[in-house]
Amino acid sequence: MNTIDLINKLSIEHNITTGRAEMILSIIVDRLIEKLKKEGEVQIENFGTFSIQQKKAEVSSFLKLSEPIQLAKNLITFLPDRVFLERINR
Amino acid sequence: MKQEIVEKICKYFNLTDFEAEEIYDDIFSGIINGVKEDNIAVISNLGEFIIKFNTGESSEKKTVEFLPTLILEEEINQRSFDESRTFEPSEFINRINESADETTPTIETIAPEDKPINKPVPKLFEEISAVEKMHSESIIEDDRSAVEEDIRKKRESILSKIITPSEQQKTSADLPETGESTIFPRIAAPDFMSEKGNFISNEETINSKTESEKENIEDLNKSVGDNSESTQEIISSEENKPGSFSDFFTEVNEKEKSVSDSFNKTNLPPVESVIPPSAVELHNQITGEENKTFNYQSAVSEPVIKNGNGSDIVTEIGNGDVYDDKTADNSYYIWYKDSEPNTNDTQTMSYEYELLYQATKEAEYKSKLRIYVTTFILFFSVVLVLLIFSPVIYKYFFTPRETDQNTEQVQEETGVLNESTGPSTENQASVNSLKDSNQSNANVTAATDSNSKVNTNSTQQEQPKQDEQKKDQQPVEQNTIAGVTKSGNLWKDDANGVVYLQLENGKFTIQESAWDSDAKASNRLSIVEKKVPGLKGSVVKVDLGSKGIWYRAMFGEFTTLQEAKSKADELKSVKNK
Repeated sequence: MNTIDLINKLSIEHNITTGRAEMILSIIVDRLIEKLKKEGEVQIENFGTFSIQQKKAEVSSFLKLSEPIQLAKNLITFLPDRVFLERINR
Repeated sequence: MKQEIVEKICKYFNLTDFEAEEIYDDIFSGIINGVKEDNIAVISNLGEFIIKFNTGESSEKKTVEFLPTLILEEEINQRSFDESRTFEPSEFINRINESADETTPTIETIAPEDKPINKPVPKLFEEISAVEKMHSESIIEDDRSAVEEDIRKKRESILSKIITPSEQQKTSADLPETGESTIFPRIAAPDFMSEKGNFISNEETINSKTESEKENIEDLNKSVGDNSESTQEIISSEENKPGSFSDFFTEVNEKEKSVSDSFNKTNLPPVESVIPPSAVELHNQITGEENKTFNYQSAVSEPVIKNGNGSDIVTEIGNGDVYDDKTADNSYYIWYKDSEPNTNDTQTMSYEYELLYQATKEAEYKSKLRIYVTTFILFFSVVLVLLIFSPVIYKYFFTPRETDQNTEQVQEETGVLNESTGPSTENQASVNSLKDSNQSNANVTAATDSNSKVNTNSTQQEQPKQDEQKKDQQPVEQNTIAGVTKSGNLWKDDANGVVYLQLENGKFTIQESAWDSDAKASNRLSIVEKKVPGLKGSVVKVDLGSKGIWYRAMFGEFTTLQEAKSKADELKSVKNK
């Protein structure tokens, strides 16, 4: 499935234009990302929770420079909700 | 989050809460269905939801894995990177604050002894080194010692910058001793004081005066007690130049100045207030972003505190040179071009508003485009229609009617004939007009020539029309007689000086003359009718526009031109009599 499919589906089901559906989807996605950035965790009912896992800083050596560089990485994890899993596993 | 989004959707798209909630739920349910059907759901700007099959024997064979987009990952890692840049280790700052708290009493009361002043600085260094050790123990290896030493040096340099006020405190101990153990607490001087650099409060002036007086006394004692060359010189100079009252005061003022300058040197901001911007600048230099002072700037610019020497101690804050158009809330400032961006005047626009703004702009653009296109099409169509129907339009609106032209011209000629007779009697005018047949004939021939020319022009332009007319005129032309020329619906008889006209019933009449008044025309009728018995005439009024109204004297109705001509000949013979 693609975003375009989702938008088309929304526009047909709710009798709205594709532009509006796209805008609504973009608003939701952007709000989700913003909240994820601010709070580090976003929970959506019947869907799942997005969270940021902070990876410990690893020291990597770049051979050419022969200097150690600290690398910190944040990972986004998604834990699907029970409803989500049930619907998939039906 | 759901409520926020639902409210926004309701607000922006004029939907009810129920509809907005339905849309919100349907989006996520749509994603779930998409994952279920296609095993993958790709959502732009967010990521991919992929089904993962568990190998173990569990109740849920399928699980979902989320792979964020690269942009999203970068954004989130950028956030962590930014956080690391605004590095403020809590332990470190707390310790510094604690140490600063300890140092504050020493700022307020500085004892003449050196010991209490020197205490906090080594303490600070010890603590810093301890913190560094704590950090370094987890990381340090033998290979990295060199790099860490560099970092440590940089940190020390930053810290030294931070500690400099307390070090400068020591210099205040070198000031002339007044015998009093207390020194006034340092107060950040406002601009008007710092600019001048000489302004001192009342208490300070009193103290400085007492100091200066004491110094004067000591100097005098020294000069009296010692027999050095310098004192001798001073005495000699004093002897040579007897000091006036004003000179004494100037000396005192100079000393006051020197004392106040030295005092202003110590007039530094308290250490515990903020991290000074010099340290921030250094930090930025180390990190590589020298221009990134925006995060540390406050909205209101703080006053610049200056030394007595005039050099700035605290660098200017809020210089306004560096502006970032993107705020921390992921919203944007909007300001017009060539205008100064101020936080008070500018408005923030969120991303959603930006989307709406773009949508409205697009709609405006489309509507404008539609208007332009429609106007252009209309104009083009009108031009096309004109081009297509141009021959027809020319035919009906611009071609002159031959009959009208010819009749008018003939009437003109008749008018000219009457006018050429000049002021004469009514009968004479008509008679002369008939008598001067040569002249009139000549004129009429000229008129006919002109008519013929016009006809030739018109015939050249429109041959098909002429052919049609010819077909119509074929029965009429059968009546053509020698000495009578045809022009349109007129037949001109040059010999008799008369024009023959065809009436609506198909019969012919003789237009004997034309007059500018009805009375003249009726007179003419009566005269002719008397002379030619059995001939009935009538006056016809004709409006020729610019040429005026003319009255035509018409005689008889004849079935053929021949009859009309014979009658005209008779008329002429009667006139000549």
